[in-house]
Amino acid sequence: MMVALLQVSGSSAVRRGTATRTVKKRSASSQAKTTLAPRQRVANRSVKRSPPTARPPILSRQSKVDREVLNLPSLRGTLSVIISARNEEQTLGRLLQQVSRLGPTEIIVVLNGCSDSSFPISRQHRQAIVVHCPESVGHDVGRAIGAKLSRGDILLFLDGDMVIPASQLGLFTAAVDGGIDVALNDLDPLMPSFGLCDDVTRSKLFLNYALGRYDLGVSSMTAVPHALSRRALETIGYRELIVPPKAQARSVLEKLRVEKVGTVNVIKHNRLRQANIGAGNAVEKLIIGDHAEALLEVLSRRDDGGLLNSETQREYRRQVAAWRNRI
Amino acid sequence: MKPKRTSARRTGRRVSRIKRRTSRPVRQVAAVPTVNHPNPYVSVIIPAMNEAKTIAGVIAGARGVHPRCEVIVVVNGSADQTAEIALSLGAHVISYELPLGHDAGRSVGAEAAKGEVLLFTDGDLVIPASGLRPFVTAVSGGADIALNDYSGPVRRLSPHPVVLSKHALNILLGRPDLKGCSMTAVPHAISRRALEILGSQSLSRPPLAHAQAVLSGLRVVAAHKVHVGKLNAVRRKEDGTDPLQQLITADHMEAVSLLLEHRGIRAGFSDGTRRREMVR
Repeated sequence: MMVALLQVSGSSAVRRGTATRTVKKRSASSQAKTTLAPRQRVANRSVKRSPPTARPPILSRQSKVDREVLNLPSLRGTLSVIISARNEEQTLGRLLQQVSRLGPTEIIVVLNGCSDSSFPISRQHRQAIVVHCPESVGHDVGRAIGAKLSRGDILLFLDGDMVIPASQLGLFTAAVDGGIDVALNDLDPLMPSFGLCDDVTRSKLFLNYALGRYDLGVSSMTAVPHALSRRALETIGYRELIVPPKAQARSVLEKLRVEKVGTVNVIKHNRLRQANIGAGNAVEKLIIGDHAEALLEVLSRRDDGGLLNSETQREYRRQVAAWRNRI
Repeated sequence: MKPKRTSARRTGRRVSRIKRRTSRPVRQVAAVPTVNHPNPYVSVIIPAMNEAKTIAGVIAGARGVHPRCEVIVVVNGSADQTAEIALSLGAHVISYELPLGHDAGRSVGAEAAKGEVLLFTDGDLVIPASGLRPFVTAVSGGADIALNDYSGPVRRLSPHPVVLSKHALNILLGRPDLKGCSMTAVPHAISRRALEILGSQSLSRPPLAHAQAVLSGLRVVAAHKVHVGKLNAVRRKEDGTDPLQQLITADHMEAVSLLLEHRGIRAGFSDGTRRREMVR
């Protein structure tokens, strides 16, 4: 099940740039024993395990978990979960547990320049396909690698630095299963007024406006979690996922169904690193550059509206001036 | 019983305070001339369309910006007395029967200007000289473009598209410090050097001129705040669209296009440590 596929390299992937608050981390032990008992984790992976429903409900917590699995709506399509991680030993194990509850067909963990125990932790998971890139491949490249390897009808993209409950992840997979091509995280309710927003947020808003989708607010493929349909991936091209805003621009321009489907507070839990704190940080600049690429995509697709010759342009401005003046 | 104090201000301590000046020293200002200076330092450019009600006030404010000053009023598409009033106040009036087009009056005025500093304002904005002088001072002090330090209302998450576009353009230009300040808004002043680099025609499409100015390495600063928001009412068509908004945001997209041509597809921002060749 385990593949050490590519020799790649250090600062993994990601949404972000927005976090300026203090991150509150739950203790690593709080959930560690809930879903999988240790003996199951070390079980021989080649042995087919009985389905979760057949497991005797020993612990009350465990049975609660099982009940929740049943409550999640079953998907018609197969699910691939793609997790990008960079030194996330604190959270990766618990995230994998939550992901398992979704009943995915495959879990692809792309370890981007990990030097901690993220690798052994992901290997312990019976289902995870691990792509270990000892050197950093850079932001968001892991997503594209994972997408290329995936086979599912629904692709759920996550970051290893944040444990999101399966019930919340289910929103995104269910939306794609129901016909949406790009299911985005709705961060609008978490945002302050425009005057207090950072440059990344403003860029996201402007891109959506330029795409004629101001209703999407600050929602962006830069942020996780988000889910794609197989159709979306094929239309966008997995390589374009390296630059998430560009992938988003292509999705809208290709008339895919792009919607915000639910809010997961990724700002509160976003891990603060050297590169993503403060205004004008490296990650912020990277993401703004991504938006420039996305806007180029918008500009290259626009119809003749943008190619008005100077005389038409002048005439239009005359009409606007006359109209404004007479009302 | 001592009466309870109801205000924060304490009484009876005046004596210990430094005695107040009875009057503020007033700077002696030369009498405002009513004609244009033959060799002006500042040219004030005022495009006007049917602004008979406000033009006198606008000119009065403009006259006070500098002792050597010329006022150029570009009257276009006006059916009222705008031109006559401006003429009677000694302005250089350039008249067009038909509307020149949105912001096109700025180019016409700039071509006629003789000053070292060009100050752009509008026929419907009555601004006192004290609100205009800082723009001239900024350009005299070495700035090439002195903008109105006004970003528009930003209290909501999704602001007006024009406000959004101005902010986004500045971010992409690598000048987030300018916030929503833009050559789209008046008043603003430019140096003669800036005019020569940008060309008078480009001033008709202010977002493009703005981007060009930053890309050319001109010194662009936010000089002074004049709250023009309340003075510029949004006018909509019956179907709810605002053609002016569409025009201005389209100009901003053109400006982004110009930026990308100059600085490359990422507008000069780094790609970080991405190794794109890992995915083929």
